[in-house]
Amino acid sequence: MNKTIDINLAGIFFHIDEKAYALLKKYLDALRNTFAKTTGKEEILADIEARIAELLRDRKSTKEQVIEIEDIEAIIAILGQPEDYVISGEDEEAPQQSNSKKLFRDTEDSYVGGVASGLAHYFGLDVGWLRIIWALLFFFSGGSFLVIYILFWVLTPEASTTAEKLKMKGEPVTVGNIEKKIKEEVNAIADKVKNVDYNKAGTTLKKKSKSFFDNFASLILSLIKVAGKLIGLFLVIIASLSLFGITLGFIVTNIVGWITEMPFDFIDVALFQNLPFWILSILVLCGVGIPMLFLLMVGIKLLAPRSNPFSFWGRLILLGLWLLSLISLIVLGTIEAKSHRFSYQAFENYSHAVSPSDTLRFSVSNEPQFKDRLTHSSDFDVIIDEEGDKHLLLQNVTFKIEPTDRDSLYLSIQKEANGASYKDAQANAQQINYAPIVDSNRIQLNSYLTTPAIKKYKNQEVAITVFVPEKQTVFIDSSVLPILGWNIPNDQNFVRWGLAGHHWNIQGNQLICLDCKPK
Amino acid sequence: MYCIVLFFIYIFAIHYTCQTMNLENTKAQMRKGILEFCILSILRSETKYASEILDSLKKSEMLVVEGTLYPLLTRLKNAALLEYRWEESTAGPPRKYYQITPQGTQMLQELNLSWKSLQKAVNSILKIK
Repeated sequence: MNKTIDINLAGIFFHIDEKAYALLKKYLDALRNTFAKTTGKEEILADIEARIAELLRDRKSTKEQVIEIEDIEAIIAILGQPEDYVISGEDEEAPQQSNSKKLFRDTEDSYVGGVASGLAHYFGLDVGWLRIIWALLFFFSGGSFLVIYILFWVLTPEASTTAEKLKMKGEPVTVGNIEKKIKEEVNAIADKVKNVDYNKAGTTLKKKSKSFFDNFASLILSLIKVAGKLIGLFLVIIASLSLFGITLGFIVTNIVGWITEMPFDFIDVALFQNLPFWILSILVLCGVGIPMLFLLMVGIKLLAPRSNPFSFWGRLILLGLWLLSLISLIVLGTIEAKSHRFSYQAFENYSHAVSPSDTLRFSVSNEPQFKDRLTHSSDFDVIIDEEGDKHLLLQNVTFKIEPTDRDSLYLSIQKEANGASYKDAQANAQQINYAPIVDSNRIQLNSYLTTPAIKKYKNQEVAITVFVPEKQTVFIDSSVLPILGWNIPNDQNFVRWGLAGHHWNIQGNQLICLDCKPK
Repeated sequence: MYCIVLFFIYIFAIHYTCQTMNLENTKAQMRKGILEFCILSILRSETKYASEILDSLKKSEMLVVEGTLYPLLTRLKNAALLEYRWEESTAGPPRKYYQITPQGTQMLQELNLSWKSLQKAVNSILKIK
């Protein structure tokens, strides 16, 4: 049973069933849309209405018969869909199809409120990306995007009717499209209904649980997918930044090295026999850069599973290059380690007569031209002497005072260096230049040693020990502090710092302070 | 790398749609012109109302659905190639009887000539092929 409506179509009176009326109205509205921009629109519509009236009159023999949905469908088939009315062309009569999209929430494809999928429809993007963007915004904005999301949720209408769903997706709202959409939905519902009938009531529980687990599984799967994309994004960012950094570093250091040469004296002197810096930097670039490149590839693969950033052979070549540079670095490292394998200590002893009544003063006075270089904390530096030869300036010097039973004072200078062989180590040790200036009652030390740069850095060290006899008074100037050694026996139990700046007397194998404040 | 790939796909898609759109457009223009020519020919000697015009067009399979006719009739009428008069009908609403104007007849003659030469040209080209 259906309600009927009375309508006037081109001056003719019709009884029309409610459903048929709805369809006819939709059809005419769609036509009105189609001809919205056409000149003579009203006339065309009136002609069409008249034609519909004529066709309907042909189908129904008496005025009492009610127009049903089938009649309208038949008439639409004769007249054609709104799209058929205009032979589309570029001229002024072409209809302005309302393709303008509107922002709706798509609750059919939603995790939370369907905001992301609605935005995806609006911007024509993949939903997955928008979800990632939302998730990132949540994390990095400290929750303020949660508020924005809720605002979107509240303010954006849900796409509930078919017309709204079409508008959301940007498809023109035509009768044809609406019909298509409705048919899709009806089919989906019909399938569901069929399945329920098929399974009957006895298996509903099983089915419910199954569908629950299906949903659960698909939720987990999509979470994994999103997590994968996040990880991929993270990898891409990290890897591309590090690649950028490494490459920039490589280029800059090499260019600077080419132009000025100066900063690389260090590296030159410190490492690897006589290997040029650029070879070393290429090895490091490959050794560190290629794994980063692989990380980048993994990231891209995670983000876009179908992309293939490098061919199989490209990857193989990269892997080979990486292994090659890795092996070279290991070999070079081994050679370097070998060149430090042996160590040699050369001792030089000087005795020095000083009268016991005098105070022996220890101080450090470095040559003025090195003062700048010695203030900074780096352990070594490269200097060039008057003849243009390079020398290493090292601050590996320690100074110690030890009481002795002997009658006279003497200095012991221990020079130590590493080398690839015992002989090499000996040669390296003998090349160390260190000469304190010894006056009658004053010993001036240097806080550095020098050695020809050609010998490279081989852990060269100098340890000065002054053996002081009983009853001798000494003064340790505060300038000695930087090279002062640990554990000099004294009555104040100073470990190191307190020793400088005081007068000491040697009594019974330890230093007795003469001008310290009593505890 | 990914961006570059996407960019190329995008350019390709735009290029492709442009091509197909042009083809569709040409086809539509051709069909429209020929339909107008046919309507004028049908009305050259007698007055007819819409559904009679439709019958002739349908017989010769020029039209699939009726809807296409109405905008064309209105356009021809607005261009003063056709005119109409109302006639009461016993069966339904009053009918619009269309009639060709002198201007329309002139246009039809010109169209006839150009159609014939076109036909000749196209046929000769098709034969060569």
